[in-house]
Amino acid sequence: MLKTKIRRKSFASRSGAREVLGEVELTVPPATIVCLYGPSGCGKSTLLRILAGLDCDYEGEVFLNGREVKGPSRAVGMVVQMPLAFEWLSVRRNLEFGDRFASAVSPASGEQRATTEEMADLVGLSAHDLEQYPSQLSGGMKQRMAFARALLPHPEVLLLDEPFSALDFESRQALQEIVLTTRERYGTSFVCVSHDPEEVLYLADKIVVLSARPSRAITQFIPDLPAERTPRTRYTRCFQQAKRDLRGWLSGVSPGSENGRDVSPTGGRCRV
Amino acid sequence: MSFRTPLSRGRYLRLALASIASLIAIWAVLARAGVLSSTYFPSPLSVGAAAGRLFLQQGLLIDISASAGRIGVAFLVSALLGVPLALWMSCYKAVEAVFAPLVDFVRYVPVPALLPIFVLVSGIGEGPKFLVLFFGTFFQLVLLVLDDADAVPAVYFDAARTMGAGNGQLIRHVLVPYLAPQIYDRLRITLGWCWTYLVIAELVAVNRGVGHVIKEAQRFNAATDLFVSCIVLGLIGLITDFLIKLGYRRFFPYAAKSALQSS
Ligand SMILES: Nc1ncnc2c1ncn2[C@@H]1O[C@H](COP(=O)(O)OP(=O)(O)OP(=O)(O)O)[C@@H](O)[C@H]1O
Ligand SMILES: [Mg+2]
Repeated sequence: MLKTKIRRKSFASRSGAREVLGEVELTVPPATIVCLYGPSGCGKSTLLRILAGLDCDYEGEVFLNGREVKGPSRAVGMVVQMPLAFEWLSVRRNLEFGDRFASAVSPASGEQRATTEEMADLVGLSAHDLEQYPSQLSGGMKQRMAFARALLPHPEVLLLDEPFSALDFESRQALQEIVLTTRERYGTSFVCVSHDPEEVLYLADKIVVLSARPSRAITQFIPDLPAERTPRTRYTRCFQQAKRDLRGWLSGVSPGSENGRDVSPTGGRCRV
Repeated sequence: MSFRTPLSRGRYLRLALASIASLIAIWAVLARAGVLSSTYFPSPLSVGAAAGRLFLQQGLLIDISASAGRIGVAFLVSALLGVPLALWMSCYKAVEAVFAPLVDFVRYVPVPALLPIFVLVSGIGEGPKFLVLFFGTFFQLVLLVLDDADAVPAVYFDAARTMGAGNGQLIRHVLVPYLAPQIYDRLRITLGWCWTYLVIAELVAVNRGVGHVIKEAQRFNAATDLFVSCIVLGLIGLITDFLIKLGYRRFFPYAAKSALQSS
């Protein structure tokens, strides 16, 4: 369980401190997908870096399973928008990149760790792909590789900073399925930044909306959809209804209103 | 001709050779027609004859190897100190604060002007030659590599850190391999500068060296020898550059491939 309570985050600038995040509270239970939604430049990436322990210069705290996060660790992974490849390594060695930093004691609970092949299979990289250099892969395949690489250390939480937005339609849908499968199979939690309402709806157990800078978590929206999503879900009437609800709700959300309240417009009775 | 499309290797070579051949032909015709003064601009034939004399009787090869040895040592020291220093500066801003003023300052001091000081400090042996070559390359190299290192996107380090990498591991497993092709290329360019500084380095009391041959040629107004030396330097540059580029493809096959794809 990842819990955070941020009071303030600002960056120093020539004209004094520039406040980026105000009060933000966020709870990410195990095996949950939380989507962050907010205007451009409101500090979503900044928030993710704080959650990852990559930025510790803020007022507030982040707890992972009751222990304060004071720096980056293998328990919290990250995938960013640009398909990131260690170009000098083969795709296989890219996936295994994190192994060399693993301490000898992991895996903690003695559970079987996924092998490179298993993870490659999950994201749809072929045995042939594994022996290529990343530069020989398409952008979509590179992003799948980045996913598999981030998943191999078995993070409890994987932070996704607009990981789908630079991809073609097909890769985007494939990666969304990968997120859902990973949650199912490994119990991984996700915090996902996205600008696409449809994507947000499809993935999220909970949608957190941030206001413009200095951002505060305005409110949370729990989509009224069955917990299990399949590609078919997109074409159900429920989904269309939820999309209308979200749109309407987003246009109604204004800074200062309904702070932190959970909203589920139809009371969670939708069935497929 | 299609825009930015690679030529076949054979076609490229044929064109390059034809270009060189026509340059020489134009030169020969102009010399023959008496357009060029033979004192300052000798004909290809007399330059060829001078080359034969220099190589066979005056041991130009010994000069070349003497110069190459000087350059090799200075370049190696420059690279072995400069590259790590630049990486260290890029990783730790306190280190940068300590060295940056010095590097930036010395970089603007004209090295030839320092020659008398080098002689005072290190005598007239190999010392001042080494110092000219070292000062001519070290500070530039530090700056180039520092710029490259600063330009490595932070997301690479972020990704590695969330996979558990510590500072030393970031340097070893991310920074160095990421920069290796760029550093390799910077070293190629730096090596080229060494040959430029050679002529200055060999101004003081040398018996052997290509710079020395050039100086003597100037002293005795031997335009043919001057031409031979300059052509030899040009050829050495061309050949080393070619070999280094071959090495690039061998050492960084992934980079060569991505270059192919993007072209
Ligand atoms: N290292 C930094 N130094 C100074 N200011 C920064 C830094 N990083 C981010 N900012 C500022 O903080 C604000 C939020 O940036 P951030 O990248 O977190 O926004 P975002 O919500 O991810 O935006 P986008 O939707 O465009 O990705 C921006 O105004 C940005 O200029
Ligand atoms: Mg962002």
